[in-house]
Amino acid sequence: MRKSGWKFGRTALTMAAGLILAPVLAQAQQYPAQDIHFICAFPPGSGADVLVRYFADKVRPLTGKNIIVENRSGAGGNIAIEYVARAKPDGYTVFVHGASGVAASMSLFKKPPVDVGKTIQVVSTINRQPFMVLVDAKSPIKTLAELTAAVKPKGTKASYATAAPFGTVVGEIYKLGTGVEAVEVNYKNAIDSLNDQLSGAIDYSVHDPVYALAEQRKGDLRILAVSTAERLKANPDFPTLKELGVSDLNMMGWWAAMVPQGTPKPVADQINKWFNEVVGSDESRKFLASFGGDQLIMPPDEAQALFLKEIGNWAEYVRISKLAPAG
Amino acid sequence: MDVFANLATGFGAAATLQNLWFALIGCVLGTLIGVLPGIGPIPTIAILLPVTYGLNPLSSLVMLAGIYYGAQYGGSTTSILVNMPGEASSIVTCIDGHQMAKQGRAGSALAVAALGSFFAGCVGTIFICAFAPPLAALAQQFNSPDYFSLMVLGLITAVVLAHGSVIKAIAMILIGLLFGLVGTDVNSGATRYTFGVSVLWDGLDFLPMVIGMFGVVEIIRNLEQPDVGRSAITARFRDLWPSMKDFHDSWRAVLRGTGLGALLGILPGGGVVLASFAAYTVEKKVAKDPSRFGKGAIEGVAGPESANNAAAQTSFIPLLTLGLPSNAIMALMMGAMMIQGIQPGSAVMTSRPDLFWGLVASMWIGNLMLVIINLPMIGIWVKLLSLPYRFLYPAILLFCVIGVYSTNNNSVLMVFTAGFALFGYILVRLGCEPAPMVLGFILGPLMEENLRRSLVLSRGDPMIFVQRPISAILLVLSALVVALIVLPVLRKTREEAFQE
Repeated sequence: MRKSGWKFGRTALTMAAGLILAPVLAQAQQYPAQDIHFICAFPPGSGADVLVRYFADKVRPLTGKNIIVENRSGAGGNIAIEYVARAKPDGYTVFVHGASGVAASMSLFKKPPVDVGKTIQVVSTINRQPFMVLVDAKSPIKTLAELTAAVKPKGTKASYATAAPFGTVVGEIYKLGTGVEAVEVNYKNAIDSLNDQLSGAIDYSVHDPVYALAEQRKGDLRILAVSTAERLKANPDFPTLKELGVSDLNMMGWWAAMVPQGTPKPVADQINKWFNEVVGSDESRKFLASFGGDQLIMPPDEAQALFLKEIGNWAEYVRISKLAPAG
Repeated sequence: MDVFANLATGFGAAATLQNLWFALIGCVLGTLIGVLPGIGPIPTIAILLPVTYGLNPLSSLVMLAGIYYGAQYGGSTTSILVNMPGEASSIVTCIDGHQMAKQGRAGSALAVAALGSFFAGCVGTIFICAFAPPLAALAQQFNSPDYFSLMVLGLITAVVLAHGSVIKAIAMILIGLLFGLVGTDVNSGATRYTFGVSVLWDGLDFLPMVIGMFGVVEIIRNLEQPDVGRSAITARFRDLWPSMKDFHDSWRAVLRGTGLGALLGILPGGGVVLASFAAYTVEKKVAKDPSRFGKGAIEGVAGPESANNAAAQTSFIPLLTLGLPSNAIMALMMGAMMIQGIQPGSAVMTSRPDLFWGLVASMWIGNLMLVIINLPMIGIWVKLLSLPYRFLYPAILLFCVIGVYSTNNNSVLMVFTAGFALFGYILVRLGCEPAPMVLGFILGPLMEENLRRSLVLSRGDPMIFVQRPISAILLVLSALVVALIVLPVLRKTREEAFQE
């Protein structure tokens, strides 16, 4: 009795396993067989949402299926990260988001909801973009060296604005590399710091490239340096912190298409192919340049290696800049 | 500042086929919900917010604004014909409007209400053209301490101008401030009142709060009352032309109501309800024979109806120039702009002139549409009043639920909506107005952010708030407004003003 029960159990298990595996294999063969969901970790209409929807529109015709953008915003992207990590690894849930942000989440939060290195896999990279050091365009300061010379003697009387953990990190690294002791002032959005900076209450700021380029074009602010180790093709005039001798670190934000780990390789390769085709177009080059960054194209295994390396980098950045983890 | 060139830009932007279409949708929807008692512009705009994601920013604002001032037109119809306010801002219109209808002068009352509103709407639009550019220029000088003091003034004025008990209004604002604290602190990164729920890290969501507290609570409140058949006094189109005597009696009231409404609309915490009540009080005060009021005095319709529409237009001024929402509706409009990636404030006028002036121009176009929608088509709206509510409520509730869920595809938000509905219902039972709470919720985080940022900038020295002239002036104004409540003589005036 007991034996047959065990036997029955084993047969049931085998059958169940077969049932679970069969559709996965079938899907892998004829991917995509149904609509694909792009997950966006920001609310609809935000700048990042525009980027996700751009790729949804461009990838859609290549797939022959519909692509649905699903906004799952909140908790600094953690809600989307957790959702993707727990989704079925079948290639129908694709997370289009800053992979640097996903890597950073392991260090920025006290209790990250999932171990992203073990649950999320990067299949295709999209772009790389720097953070930028800015001063008032009316000020006589034209270079980073002049800024350092101006704020260093002020000691802790100098102030600078940031509006994102990335800005905090770059700001801290700048201070470490130069001996500047300015006090950080946090803003919710970069634009909130503009009036304070133009009135002179803030000596300099470290902000995202979209804001920095917009304010530079309006003639309000001047960009002194970028945080990537190499100059960007999108804006080759701006020197890097590395060439200015501030830091050897290559601090970049980079976007990617990500899937839950365990996604079959043919499916991952297919998604990589779609994204590479879209990212490589001239239209995408211009589109990404408007976000202040360059196209970034690499094979899936290299992208995944970069992702794992970034998880370590961010642990280091957060340690150096003494950022207190949230949560 | 070349107003005409700006207006030309605006009309160019607003008069595209798409924007005209959305202005019309907004105006028709606004009239509809205005006519129907039991659903007001706050829940309607809240429910429609998610729909605007797919629109361009101007179309979405044009439509939402149309709902707001459209409701001011529609509300009067129900007040006059059924003696039941379609909107809170039309409560006073019942008093004399329905009496006029009973005396067979429904047509005159409706026409005066609509034409007065149209006049007030046009003047309100001119007000925006005249006052917005200088205010926006001033706002560009605002630093963190100045913003803090501005929020302080806004919240204090909201208390003074709130209906009913001052204590309750203060309590509601404080509760709103506390709700606003939920989430990650900008300065330290610490999470507050999140109870380990990651959805709360970015703070409480605005939509579940407003849809729960306004949308769902309205439904419960209305269901408490038995669904009695509403008997509307019929009005025909050919009766709609007011007599010369009506014109003669009402034009001064329209002017007074417009002026008063335009001013009260700008004030933080002011808005359409306050404007209509104040206008009625003023009309009664200046009348040669105050005993006529309550028995069908046409001024009692013309004044408040002009005032509420003027206020509906001018309440956009603080939002579009200072980024300061003056009431719950404007807080929703602020939400609609932020969803589109536009930070409300002085930058809108310089960086998106088409958006700013397009919205202003659309208001004028919308007012014109509303006169047409409301006068010749009055019969349609009256028929709508016979619609049984048991069909209407499930539909409204469904829209509430879809609206909240679709923003984030997160079922936790449903729980929040239900929680806020329950909380809102308790508040209503306790006689507390939820509107100041929403204002506190929106302004609280901004106020805290600017306070702490100012203190970081000054390295902890609170003198920064009086050293900057803008901030100092705003704080002095706040102190004066506090004196309004504290000094017994002035307090009496306030109580009298809210007597009606």
